[in-house]
Amino acid sequence: MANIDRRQFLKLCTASAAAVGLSQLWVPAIGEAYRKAAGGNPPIIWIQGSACNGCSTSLVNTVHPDMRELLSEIIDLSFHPGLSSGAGNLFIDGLYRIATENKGKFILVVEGAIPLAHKGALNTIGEDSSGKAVTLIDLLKNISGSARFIIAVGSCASFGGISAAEPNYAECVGLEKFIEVNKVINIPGCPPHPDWIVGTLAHLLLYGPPVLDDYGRPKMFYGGLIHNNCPRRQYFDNSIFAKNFGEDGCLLYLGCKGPLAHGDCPTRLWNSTSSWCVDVNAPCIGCTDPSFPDLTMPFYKRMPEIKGPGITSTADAIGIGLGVATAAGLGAHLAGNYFTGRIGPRKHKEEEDV
Amino acid sequence: MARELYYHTLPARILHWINAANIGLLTTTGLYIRDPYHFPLFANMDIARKIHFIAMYLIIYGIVIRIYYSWVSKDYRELLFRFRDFKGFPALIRYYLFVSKTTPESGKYNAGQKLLYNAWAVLVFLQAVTGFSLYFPDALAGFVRALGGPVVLRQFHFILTWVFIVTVALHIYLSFLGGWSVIKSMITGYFPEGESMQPVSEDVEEVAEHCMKWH
Amino acid sequence: MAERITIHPLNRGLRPLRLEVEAESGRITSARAGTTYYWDFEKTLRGKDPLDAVQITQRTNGLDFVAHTTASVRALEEMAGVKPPQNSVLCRNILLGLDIIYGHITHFYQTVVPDYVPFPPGGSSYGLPDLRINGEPAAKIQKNIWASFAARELIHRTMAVIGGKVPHICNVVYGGITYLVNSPDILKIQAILKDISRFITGEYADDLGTLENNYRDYFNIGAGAGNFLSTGEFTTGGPAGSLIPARALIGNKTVEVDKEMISMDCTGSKYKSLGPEGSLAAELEPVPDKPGGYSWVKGAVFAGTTCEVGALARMTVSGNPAIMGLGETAVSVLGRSRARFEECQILIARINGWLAQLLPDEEYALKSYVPEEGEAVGTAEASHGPVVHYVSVKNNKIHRYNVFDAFSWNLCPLTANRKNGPVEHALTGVAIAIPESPVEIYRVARSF
Ligand code: HEM
Ligand code: SF4
Ligand code: SF4
Repeated sequence: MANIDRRQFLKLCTASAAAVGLSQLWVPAIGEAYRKAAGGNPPIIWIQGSACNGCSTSLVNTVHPDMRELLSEIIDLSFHPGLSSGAGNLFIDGLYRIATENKGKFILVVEGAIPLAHKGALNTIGEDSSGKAVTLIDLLKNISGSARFIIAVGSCASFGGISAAEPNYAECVGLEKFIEVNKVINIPGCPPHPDWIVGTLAHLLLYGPPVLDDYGRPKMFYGGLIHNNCPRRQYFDNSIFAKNFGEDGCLLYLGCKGPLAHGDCPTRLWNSTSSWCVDVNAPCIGCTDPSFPDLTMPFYKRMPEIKGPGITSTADAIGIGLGVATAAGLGAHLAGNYFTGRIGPRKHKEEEDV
Repeated sequence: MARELYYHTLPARILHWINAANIGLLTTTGLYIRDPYHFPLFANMDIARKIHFIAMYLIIYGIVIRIYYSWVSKDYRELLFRFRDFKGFPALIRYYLFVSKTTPESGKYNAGQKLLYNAWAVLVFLQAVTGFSLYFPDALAGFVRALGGPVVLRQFHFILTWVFIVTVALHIYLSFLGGWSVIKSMITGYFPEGESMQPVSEDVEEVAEHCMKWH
Repeated sequence: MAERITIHPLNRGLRPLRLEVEAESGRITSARAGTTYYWDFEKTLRGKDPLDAVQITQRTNGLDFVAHTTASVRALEEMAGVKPPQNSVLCRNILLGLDIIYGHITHFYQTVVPDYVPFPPGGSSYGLPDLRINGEPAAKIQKNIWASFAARELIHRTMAVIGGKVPHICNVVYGGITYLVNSPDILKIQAILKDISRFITGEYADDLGTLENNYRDYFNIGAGAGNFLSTGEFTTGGPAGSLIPARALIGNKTVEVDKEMISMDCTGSKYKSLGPEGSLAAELEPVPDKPGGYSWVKGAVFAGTTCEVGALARMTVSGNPAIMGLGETAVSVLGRSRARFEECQILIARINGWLAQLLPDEEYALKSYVPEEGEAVGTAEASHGPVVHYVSVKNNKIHRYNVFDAFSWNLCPLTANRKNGPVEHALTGVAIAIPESPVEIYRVARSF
């Protein structure tokens, strides 16, 4: 069976399309036993756009459940580029086939942003059997309509993230700018915590879509500000700030964006509760926020910059500049008043003259 | 002693100082919240923020009551900046730039004062909008998002703070320029007749009488 | 009869590839390998705070990210002429070592194995021919795939103790690191390292052995031109120098690597260089429909030649006995897998050593500022090969930034002097049994 020759292979490709479509995954889960366990659950199709694929790497860090439990007992992951054995047009055709067979049923997970420039030509993900290049946009247009739920995993897929950082040559956008907003569940983070991904999927399967905030993020994970649950909050309140890398204290002055970013990092902790950003004296860079990274940069400075036409200046420079200008202006005016005799000793003289 | 004109009613004076205190506290605590090292004005973040968060309610009440009072006491007639007040600007600017020597004639307040005092109400409103969006990032998330996100709002809040600082500085400067009588009038309410910073036209006295009734 | 085979995408690797080969009576005569998506941060970094590069460039890649942090801060440190404290050097080494091991385990179980072992168990791996491993050994490998996921999670767990969170660590900064592990942290790391080490010397070793025993012929397939390069890695500042030397092997001649000799070549890629031509500092303009451009990879060449990089290159230039023992056959599909495994073993031992060298009460971050002006190149080795960062700073802001990673070397597109990159080289000459399912191509291309 394993050793097949060319003739047999061709037969396999053409005659048993179902076997091809069944699943492309090489992970051992995809056996009959598994099908029964997760049976009935909507299959998941996971595709990757403009991204570093760190989100998938993060998913592998799931501990309870681990990858084995997750893939064999909880979700029916039918397609994932990193786990798919098909290459070339088998990959694309197989993907389309799974989508067609599960029309209206499957959950589409997108990792990475969507580059719109040059009609999507900056990101072709493969070729179909006719030899035509398929862009990410083609793929999404083709299958997103038949998805039951759409999940944007990572800040790129949610809001554009790093991929869409200015000047954004590729004109990357997050999913919600590409398809109707109410359909997308956002799981931002650069990358997101595995629990956020797994937890959202599990919630979706068990209870339907989770409660979302105004940014389309599940409230159960993104309900609070990092800053409000930060163990260093006492330092903040008492104005004890670290000024150099490696110092203890609140990291506000090292650029911490905890006051604007939402997430449960301080309580959930990362990598099976090993640590998290602030625990290693590193500022939160606001990776879950829609403004990441454009407005959360500079990462290691307190003040984001204000960009105006032709000027790039910190808000403080503007403020202090204004203050100095005011003082100078008023000072000059005061001097003017003095010398024109409106105030001071000459005032009386002028009155006498009258 | 010269006859004194009843210039500022008691409620106006009280509200003036309450609002002044609140703006002062909001500005100083605000600067501290932004940058505790460069503006070391308070003991710590906790205190500064608490003061800011109390004063932010008080300034709104203060402004709302002032507007209400302005309506019942009819002093909006001399306070409200109207379109025709633009006419007063050229003379005023000439005066402030030392081009002309004579103080331009106007009502109780000149065009510049009216504009400034009205602008403050708008500015406080804007500070309240941006500030409360920062204060309730979750409840107002949709709103915050529509306005460009917390980072943008924070910068906006901060720049408006500097607008306050500049305009308040101008206001204080001009008051001092007016001399003790001007400052005293906001404390006692009385302003010595004749010694005005600007010639007062007839209808002011009528309004003053009206205010007096109220007072 | 000439035949053209296009494979797009070739997935499961660092990034998806597009391969196009021409075959004459079942043998590849020429090959082109490239990527089909535009991805660069250089434009974003312009005008930004130099300190931010460590975070942005790290997001080039969800697998080899530690090397990007290291290369990025090294460039700035070199520019400033500062030496980060010993403790931070050790911690960066540990993180980098763990990331390389992570990359190797991922490569073996996620990239390589599915081309050799049938999936689902007893199935046909989606119609792949030439699957020779069956029965008990196959079942064991299939089982170990789960174990490999668990091992990967453990590696990231140890990295997070040092680096805060993984992927995309947060402790590496210009001038050092932000946090130094304390004794309980070290104990935790050592304990987990034992588990990781057990997996490597047990399961990983066995599974690689199974592959080697069943596919001896793959020690003779996928050779390439035999030019190797390593930018050197793992110094501890001591007299011993670095564990892996900065050395290149060009046509059997050993050359010490000087960063000056590395240049950029974008002839076959979809970039136009706005000059200075060939310099790592060159500004690039993306040109999606550039004639002759077939890849979004920026090419990197050493002394004018394309060089293979990665574990095999590192083990070769450092004279690893196991790899040397393979002789000619080292440069092959399975030789590369063997080199990865050997490196894992070396690194696990070293990481324990570096942990023991940490001095918890000593300095680990400099109080220093990035110079207002300057330029420098920083390098770091990643599991797939060296990462090279060029940075220039003007008025305290990044003026230009160029990132090169393993792909720039192994997938270097056709160069100005018509040289092929190592992957293209290795593909040329490979015999294909079934053009509809060219598993040989998969195996060769995925061996890098
Ligand atoms: C009227 C209602 C106001 C509200 C609801 C409000 C609310 C807030 C809030 C929630 C913050 C953020 C505090 C933090 O993040 O810890 C803040 C900061 C600040 N506020 Fe206000 N505020 C108000 C008025 C003002 C006024 C009138 C001024 C000054 C004239 C002012 C100046 C500032 C400054 C400078 C900051 C620091 C901003 C920064 O961190 O960049 N605020 N305010
Ligand atoms: S470290 Fe960051 S999140 Fe924590 S209290 Fe300080 S500013 Fe807030
Ligand atoms: S603490 Fe901030 S930067 Fe770190 S993972 Fe959470 S949201 Fe992202």
